[in-house]
Amino acid sequence: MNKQAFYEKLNQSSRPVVVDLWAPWCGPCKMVKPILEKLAKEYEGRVDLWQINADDSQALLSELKVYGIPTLIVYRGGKESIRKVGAKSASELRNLFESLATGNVPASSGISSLDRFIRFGAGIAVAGIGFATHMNWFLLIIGAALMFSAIYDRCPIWRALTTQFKKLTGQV
Amino acid sequence: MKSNESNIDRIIRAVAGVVLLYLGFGMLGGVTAIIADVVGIVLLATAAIGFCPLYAMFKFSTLSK
Repeated sequence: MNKQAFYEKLNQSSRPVVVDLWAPWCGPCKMVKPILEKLAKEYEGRVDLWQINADDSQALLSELKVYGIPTLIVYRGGKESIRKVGAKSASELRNLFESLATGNVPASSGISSLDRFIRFGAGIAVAGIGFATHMNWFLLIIGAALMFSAIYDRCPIWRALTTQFKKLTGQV
Repeated sequence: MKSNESNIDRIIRAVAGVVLLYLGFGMLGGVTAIIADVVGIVLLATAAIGFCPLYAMFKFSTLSK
C-alpha cells in the first residue's frame, strides 16, 4: 500500500483501525497474525484490521517511522493513538480490541518513546545522584525503579510474573 | 487514570525532580532537604506516569485538546 492510498483510506474510515505491519519472514508476526485475524472477525463492524506487508510498503513504513516489526498502530479519528512494537500476548491484544470497541481506551496504552526517554533519563539521573552522594541506596533504588518503568513491558520475567498473577486472580 | 500532562510539562517535572533530589540529598540539610526530597520524588513520579492528581482535583490539564 502506498502512502497516499493509506491516508485516503484512513480518512474515510469511521471506525478505529488497527494497522498490523508484518512480513512473511518474520516469526513473531506469524505468531500474532492468527490472533489478530480472529479478533478482527470477532469485532467486525466495530474495529477494522489492516494488515500491511512491510516488504511491499517500504515508503509507508518510513513515513510512519516504523523501525521494527511486528508493529501495531491504532488510529482513531484518523490520528495515531496507540503504537505497540513487538509480538503481544493474546490477552493484551484482546484488551486492545475490547477497549477500542467500547471506547474505553486505558491511559496506559503502551509506552511511547517519550515515556521511555523521560523515565529512563530521570532514572539514570537519580541513580547518578545516588552514586555521587556516597552511594545513597534510597536514590539508587528510585533510579533503578524509574529505569525499569521505562522498559518493564519488554521484560520477559515481568510479563511471566504478571500473567501468572492475573491467572491467579482470575483476570485472564 | 487519564493522562493530564503535556510532554513539555513532563520533561520540566522530570528535570525539576532530579534537581530537587540533588539539592535535597547533596546540598541542603534539615527540613528544607526533606521538603526538596519529597517534592522531587512527587515530581518524578508524576512525570513518569503522566498524571497529576492536583491537576485532576482542579480539573486542569496541560494536554492540548
